[in-house]
Amino acid sequence: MGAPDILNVQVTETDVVNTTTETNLLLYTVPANTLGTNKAIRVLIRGDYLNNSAGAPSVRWRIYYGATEMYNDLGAGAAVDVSRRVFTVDFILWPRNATNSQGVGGTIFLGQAGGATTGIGNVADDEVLTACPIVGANASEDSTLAKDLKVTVAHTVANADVSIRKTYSVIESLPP
Amino acid sequence: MTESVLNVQVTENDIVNTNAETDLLSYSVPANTLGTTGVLRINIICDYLNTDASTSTVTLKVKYGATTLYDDATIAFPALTTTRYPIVISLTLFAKNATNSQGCGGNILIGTTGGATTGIGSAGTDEINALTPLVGANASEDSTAAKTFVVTVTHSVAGLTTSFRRLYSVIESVDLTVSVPVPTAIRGRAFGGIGTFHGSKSEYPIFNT
Repeated sequence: MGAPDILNVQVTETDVVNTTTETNLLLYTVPANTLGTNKAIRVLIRGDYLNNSAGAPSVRWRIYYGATEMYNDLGAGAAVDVSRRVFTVDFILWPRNATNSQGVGGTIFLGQAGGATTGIGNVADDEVLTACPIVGANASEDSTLAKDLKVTVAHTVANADVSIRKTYSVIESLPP
Repeated sequence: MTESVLNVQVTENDIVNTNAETDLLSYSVPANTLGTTGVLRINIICDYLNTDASTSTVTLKVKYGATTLYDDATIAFPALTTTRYPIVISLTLFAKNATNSQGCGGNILIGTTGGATTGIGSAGTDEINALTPLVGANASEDSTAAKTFVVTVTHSVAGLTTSFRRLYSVIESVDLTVSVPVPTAIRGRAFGGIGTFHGSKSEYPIFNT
């Protein structure tokens, strides 16, 4: 029994804007032996999304550990709106009882534009763009070596008014 | 405040080919863990498969000691579905200002089959199979004694390919009575909890009091 350790905190905004190139929203090099056979890493990302362009662009979300793409999907198209939408990405990366086998699971939410008197997020409506539990494909990375953990995004449209911003992230190590 | 990881399960627990109520997760909460203000946070990542010829449901129950805090059945999953559904269960078991009174809350998300290019869980929709915040019935257990916290699964169908798997789980304790400086402003939290947005076919809060 032990306390979770905070491995990494990012409070500087990362704005992925005006590009369709796959871009890191979060990149962290997991030190060698962090996962072991029975530890885990918990990742929490907060941010927002803007589509103030014509059309209904969307975002492709990907999660990687080492060279393995563990999750990849295209979000729903977002209608034009001058206001931003909140997103949350929370997941756990865990070893599957071995140092060369990993799983990932969690949630992705992308809400409505505006909707609140103060802040963003409409408590009067259940219709959001993405409400998604996820379970990733398993990885077979050697976690006795340092490996990159990445969350990337790719817009379907490059426009100065199509932006996704990570406002905060935290990565914790969970002891066995 | 102190935060501790009490229990981690990284070995898959596959509940398959049975319609008997079966433990998805079982943990004996040590005596005096909850106290009067303590909290347990439980996160379970699972998936579900029904390739049986019949539709099927799953009854999920949450128990602390002898008390069933929550009990509900899912929607009927279609027959002959060859891909799995992602499921995330996030629960909080908390002391209600006494060692003989407990409450429970959280949420359960059951996603769509497939949908993703890699992994399962469609980022392209909010119309999933269940997305429910829950509040459990209160318990009146004596937490000064060790009590078992259990999440159980009961399939409506016993099929060789009707499977509910726990992939990973973690149980954490938050103890407010221990005064240790912790930079709470940068403390993370697992999925769900307060402020989760929701929309689904199963979009109602539950009050089983």
